[in-house]
Amino acid sequence: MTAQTSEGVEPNLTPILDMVFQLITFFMLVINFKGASMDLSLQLPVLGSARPLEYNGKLEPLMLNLDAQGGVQSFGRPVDIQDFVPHEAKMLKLQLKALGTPIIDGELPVPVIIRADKTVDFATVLKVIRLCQAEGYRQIALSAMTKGGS
Amino acid sequence: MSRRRRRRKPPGEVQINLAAMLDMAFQLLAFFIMTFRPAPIEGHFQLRMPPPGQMVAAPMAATTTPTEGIAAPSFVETLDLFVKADDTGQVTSITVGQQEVVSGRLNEAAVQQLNAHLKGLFTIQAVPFDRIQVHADRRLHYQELMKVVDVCTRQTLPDGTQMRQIGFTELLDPANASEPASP
Repeated sequence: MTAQTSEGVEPNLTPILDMVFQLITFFMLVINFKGASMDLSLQLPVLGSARPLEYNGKLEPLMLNLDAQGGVQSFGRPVDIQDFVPHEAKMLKLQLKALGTPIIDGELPVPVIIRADKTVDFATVLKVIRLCQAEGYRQIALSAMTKGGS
Repeated sequence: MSRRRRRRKPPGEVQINLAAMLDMAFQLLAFFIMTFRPAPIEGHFQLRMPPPGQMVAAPMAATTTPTEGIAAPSFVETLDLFVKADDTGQVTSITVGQQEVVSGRLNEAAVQQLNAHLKGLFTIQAVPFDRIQVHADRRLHYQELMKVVDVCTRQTLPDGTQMRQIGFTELLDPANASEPASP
């Protein structure tokens, strides 16, 4: 037998390609698109009885992040809540009109998710809720962590 | 002379260059790894708010602490809950109607006490409360508020549904009651 020269060696790339594709599939399945709308730096209160949101509508809920300083963020950028909520409500009404969904008694059939830092005061939360109410949002979901952690 | 014979490929066989595909696959993998953010384990307390014109103006219970809101008649089935807080945002007392149920910090024992009191009220069929109005101090921290909301949502209505009709109003400090409330 003669020694095989490195010149003619061709590694079989098929197994590594299989493995890489499996990893890609895994990451594609667990990718969290909603994470972009969440401010993960917030420290939410921990309450084990919080439940997943019961909403099966086609349109995405409005998510508002309230940081410890009382600022409101949406999709990672600070927003002026006085302008942002009316604008979102206006856009939602247009979308509902396009979908042919009726707005009954002025109530927008999409929930608002409020993710507030645990140290935010009640006055700030109430201000946001009032604003949402005034624009026709009636379903308000207050977020909490179901388990403690970092 | 090597005796190894190279297998001659049939003329129809095409060998794909996997290196290029592997490069692309690694790039995709790198992208997904770098953008991977596991979803936090979050839950929600789903509430159903009344229209803004139907917010409670004044508590049904006779109290010296006025609340801020739009002038409108109160709901007859509304249970008023008054939550006072100190400068640190912690609960100092909780009054249900006219009865002070919690005095001091809202610890686990106080939460159980409040829950038991509300359960007692909700089991009285003669008083079918279908809404809870939380009058809270503006300094109250969100964490403490959520504890109160948690207890409220544990209550069940006579038809077996979960209590979701919870409204919020700001409880003014009696010392500053004459001053206009700024939400």
